[in-house]
Amino acid sequence: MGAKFVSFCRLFLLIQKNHAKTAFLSKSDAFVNVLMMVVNNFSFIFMWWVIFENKGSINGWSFGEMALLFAVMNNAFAFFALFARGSQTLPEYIGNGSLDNFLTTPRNTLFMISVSESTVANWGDFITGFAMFFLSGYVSWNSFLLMLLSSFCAAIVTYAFRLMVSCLAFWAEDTQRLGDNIFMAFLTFAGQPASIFTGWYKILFLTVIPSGFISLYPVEIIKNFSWSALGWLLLGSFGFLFLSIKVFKFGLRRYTSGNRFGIR
Amino acid sequence: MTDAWRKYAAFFMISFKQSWLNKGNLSGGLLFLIILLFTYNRLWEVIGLEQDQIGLNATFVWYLLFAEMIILSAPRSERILADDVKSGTMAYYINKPVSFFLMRYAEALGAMTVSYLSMGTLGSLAALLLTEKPPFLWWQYPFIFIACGISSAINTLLYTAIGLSALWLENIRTLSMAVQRLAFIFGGAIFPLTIYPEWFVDIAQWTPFYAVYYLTIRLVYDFSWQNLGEACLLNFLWTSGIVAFIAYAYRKLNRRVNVYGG
Repeated sequence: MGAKFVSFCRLFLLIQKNHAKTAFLSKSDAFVNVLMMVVNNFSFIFMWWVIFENKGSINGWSFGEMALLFAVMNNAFAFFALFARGSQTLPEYIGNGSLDNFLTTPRNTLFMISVSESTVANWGDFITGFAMFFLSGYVSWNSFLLMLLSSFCAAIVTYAFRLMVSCLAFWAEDTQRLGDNIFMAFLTFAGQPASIFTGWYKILFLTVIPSGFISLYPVEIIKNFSWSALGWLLLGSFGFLFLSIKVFKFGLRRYTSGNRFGIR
Repeated sequence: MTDAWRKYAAFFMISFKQSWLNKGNLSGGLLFLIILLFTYNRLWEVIGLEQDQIGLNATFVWYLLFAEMIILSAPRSERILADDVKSGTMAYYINKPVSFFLMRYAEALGAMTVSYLSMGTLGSLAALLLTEKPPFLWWQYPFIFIACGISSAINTLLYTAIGLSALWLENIRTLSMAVQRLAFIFGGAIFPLTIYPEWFVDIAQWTPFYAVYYLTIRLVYDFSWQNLGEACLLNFLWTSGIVAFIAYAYRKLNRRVNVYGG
């Protein structure tokens, strides 16, 4: 078991090294992309800064909480996009039959699919995430470690949700754009001050579209740590991960080969 | 209609029918729009309650609806064009008796029209359910709808032009995302420019996003013939600028394809 885990880690690092090498073939292009991502993120943050400058606070959330949310969300998305973006390409793999290539490898199929894609521009999300944490006004060693842990859990939820949405392709055709839009809706939900979702909205926020595990619990944990909030976050993130793997395995049983010939 | 334009009308119709039949794409876009309206309605409802401004959400939700109709209805034409440039596919089209760029733009317009009409119909119903009363008078609705439709066509032209920048950039996806984000802030596509500081509005006025997005969408809560005229005039000026860039980039592109053979 231990040796298998080490072997997976080695393979993961090797694949990531290759992604980085490919991305930095054109260094200037890679840097421009990272820079664009930072500009992109900060322009969005600027909009929210203006709103909070005008309105003061929204149902108890001020710009400090929003900055924590951006820190967690950007780090989570960076984790996802750099190390597991393949889950987003799954509908394409199913559609054109290239999933066969992954099925024939001796390694875990889902692992190989997940690490098959990486977007270098998302290093810009890490830059934004850490910058926002330091601008949030909640800076301490404790909160820094909690931010890292929360970001990791949020990344798991992001990955799990994207995987579930991508699995639609096992049952229907042409679901790439549909999946992208549902995923964007999920991120839009997550990018709002969690305090606006109360009552039924909150239940929806934590179940059907589990964005609350990216915004609500992480910010609460960093601000006022409580074991119960951490427990909910861990339960929610690993619960969704477990569910998404089940959905993937269930969908995979329906998959019929595209008869594509190729070796990976 | 001359023969040349009939060809592009045919490209438009083919793309229109394909987009209409692609229910997955269409429903995904609509679902996203509805969730966006629902989310921001909740935000403005909460802000309205806190500030004793009941009905604040109506102005912002209808504003957001038209802004998103312009932005979301644009197909990802920049990616198609960039793929054509990178893969050399355009070399195959370039010797055909149609302009490659206009062909792609006509196709993009066909897809955009389907999205725009369906988002306009369903989005208006959703906004009406969420807010009950729009901030404009109903006779103004067709004018706002058409003006935003024209802005959407200009927005599609802008993104098709971004596709041409694949000439200089390896990956245009991040550039298009950054442009979209700049459109969101300089064009006031999520929050109107009235809430931004004055110095920021002064900068925004010098960007195409101000005319293409904000001036048109502003008609939702501030409709007047003068505002409509101003939006049309500035949109025309910026469109000329975008067309000039396209002509320059397209000429360069043609020359490169000739040199490298696609």
